[in-house]
Amino acid sequence: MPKTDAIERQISVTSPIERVWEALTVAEHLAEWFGDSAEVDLRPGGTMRVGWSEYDATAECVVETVEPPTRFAYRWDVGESDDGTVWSTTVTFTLHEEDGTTTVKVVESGLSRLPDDLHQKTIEENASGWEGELEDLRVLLEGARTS
Amino acid sequence: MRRDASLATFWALCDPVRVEILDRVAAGSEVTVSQLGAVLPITRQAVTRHVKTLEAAGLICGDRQGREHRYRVAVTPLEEARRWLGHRAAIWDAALHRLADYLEEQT
Repeated sequence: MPKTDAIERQISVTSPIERVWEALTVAEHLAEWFGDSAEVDLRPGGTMRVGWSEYDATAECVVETVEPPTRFAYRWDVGESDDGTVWSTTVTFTLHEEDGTTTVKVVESGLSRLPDDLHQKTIEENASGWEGELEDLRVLLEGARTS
Repeated sequence: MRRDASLATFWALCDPVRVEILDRVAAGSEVTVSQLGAVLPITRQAVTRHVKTLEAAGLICGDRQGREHRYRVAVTPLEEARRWLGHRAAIWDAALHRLADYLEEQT
């Protein structure tokens, strides 16, 4: 397998691009789907924080690109390696609307330069949270949520 | 297990004590020479020798912590990278599905 530096994922939603842009960049919307609390200082260099109270976790990000309504990027701190260095990846959202459907593409890059001990540690730390995410996803897909 | 299984790997696994050490390190129950020595019917010196053999075969690796090394099963960098990428991809898949669900709930 070649060394991969980026993950690319996308989804299409029947929603206008402006609404998707708000869901990605406005704190009150982010707190509805990404985490359960959020703060966003929407300008390059601004801080964005997303919290998950269930896991007592907060992700701290630095906003890098704000080009409404098509491009939004930030640096995401993924953790600390054994020597205390804080490592981050770059997350870029690209939006495109066609016939009332908006495609959201997310690219997380800078993965391969992370040290091995951080890979292992992050996977272990997130193991329980990640099972929770899958469960959330299953519930959503089965339409069982009653919010 | 390791696809690039070498003679050293086979040699390392040709011993019931070393297989037991590998199992215990993999389970995370005993991960230092003294912890292994406390549960295995052999001397500490013998434990050290077996641990060195497993380490030389690339099956386990040790991180120094205080006066002792804590051992863990070595995951090859490739397998580790793949696990990591799969893990991040799954997080994004779940997040994007929640986003789509949220946007569609609003309409």
